[in-house]
Amino acid sequence: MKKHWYDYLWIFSVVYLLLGFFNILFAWLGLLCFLIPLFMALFGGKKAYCNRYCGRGQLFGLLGGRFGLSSRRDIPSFLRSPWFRYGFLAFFMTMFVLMLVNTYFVFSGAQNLREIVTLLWTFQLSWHWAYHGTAFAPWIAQFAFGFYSVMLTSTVLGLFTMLLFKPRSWCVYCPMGTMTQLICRVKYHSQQAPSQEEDA
Amino acid sequence: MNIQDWNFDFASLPSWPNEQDSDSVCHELYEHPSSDLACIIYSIIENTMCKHVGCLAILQKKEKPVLYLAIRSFLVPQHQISFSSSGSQIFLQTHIDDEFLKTSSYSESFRQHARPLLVLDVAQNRFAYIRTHAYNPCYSIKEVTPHTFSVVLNDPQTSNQPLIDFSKKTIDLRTLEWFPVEEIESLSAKYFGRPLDQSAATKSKPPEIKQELSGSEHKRPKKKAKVQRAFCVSCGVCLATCPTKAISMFLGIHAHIDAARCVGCGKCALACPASVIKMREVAP
Repeated sequence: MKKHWYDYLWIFSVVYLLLGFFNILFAWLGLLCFLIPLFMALFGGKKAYCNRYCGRGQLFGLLGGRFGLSSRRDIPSFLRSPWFRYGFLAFFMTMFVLMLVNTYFVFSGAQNLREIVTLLWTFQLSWHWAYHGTAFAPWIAQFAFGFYSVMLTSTVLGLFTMLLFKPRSWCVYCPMGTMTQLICRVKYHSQQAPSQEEDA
Repeated sequence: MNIQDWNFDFASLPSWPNEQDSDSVCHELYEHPSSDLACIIYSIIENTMCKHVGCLAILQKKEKPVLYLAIRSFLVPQHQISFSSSGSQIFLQTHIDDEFLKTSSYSESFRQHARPLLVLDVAQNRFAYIRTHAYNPCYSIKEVTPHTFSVVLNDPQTSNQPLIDFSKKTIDLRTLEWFPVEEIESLSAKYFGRPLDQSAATKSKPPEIKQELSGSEHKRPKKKAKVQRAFCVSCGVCLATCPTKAISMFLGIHAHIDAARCVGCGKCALACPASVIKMREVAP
């Protein structure tokens, strides 16, 4: 099959993660991975981002598939249950809001900038080498640290389940995937799906 | 060679690619130099695992063509076709890129299965596999006697390697283990021996083929993929794996499989990260 330009978006994911090691302000680029799928889902693109443009999914597919790092086992059924997926989305959004609150505290001066990347919402890694002082306000750097934590955490989780289960098992509980699917469900709730010969 | 030369409605072939998909498919016709036979490989698709799947059709009679044999989902990583000079045997060989073998996580299974030399004996309605053990068998087949064919290596780069596992590099058709044609996986029995021009072809249809098929048509249970829609995460991994493009995403909510296009290969079920696609037997 002819390769399209969007088949190489995994490079963007790799470059993004690497840039965060050199200058944390590049973390702002990650907002693209949040806003593009949201806008696509809201304005008629449905889940085209997941289906075609998600660089992270491609990266997992590449590492697990072509490089054979994945054990290709079935994912445990609780991980794909709506309870877990929506629960993880809620948890993820809560942590996201907390990150925004932190950013606001730095913005208002109630808190100082902390040059820390928090992995898996628990482990605080000193990340001072990627912060060189800035022409921007400290809250901009605080948001970058917080956002990079989110991106790094989800990558580590995704890599972990990629090793244990199918290559793209991150997609099963990816909060963005769940959220965009939810948007599509709400938006097209009146549409009747084409029938399947028998329900599996 | 041009498929337009054959007076044949190619779009009627199973899984014939439609025009919109033309960037990811190709079709090639191999015509026998002396007899009225043609072999088409079409709908070759590379999915995410870099495998190529093709459909194979054998046609007879250029003027009033009969679709002699149509096989879906024939694994053709790269393809080279040789015809015998007698006209009743067709040799089909596959050719796999070395680089691909090194990078593919499926290289072991490819080593075991992917490089057969397929011999179709269209006169007797049977086929045989000849296993080769080289990575890149590039050879041509030449008839020596009516039953014996010699294998000539074409690739000078790899000629110092033991390319083919034939002791004398000849194929004696009488010594091969032959199988009846309907044993081929995914054979579309519906199309077997079907005349294209309905008015003219009853005469040209070989009667023994019809006989052979009548008993075996319902032998093999057909499988189709089914989605457990409630648990589908609509990630779209399956979309890229489907060799016949039978899967679409219903409004970003769940995958939908067009049962008419599904050939039951099971690639989507293997790839699905949520394991919500199951292969189910369906009534033939």
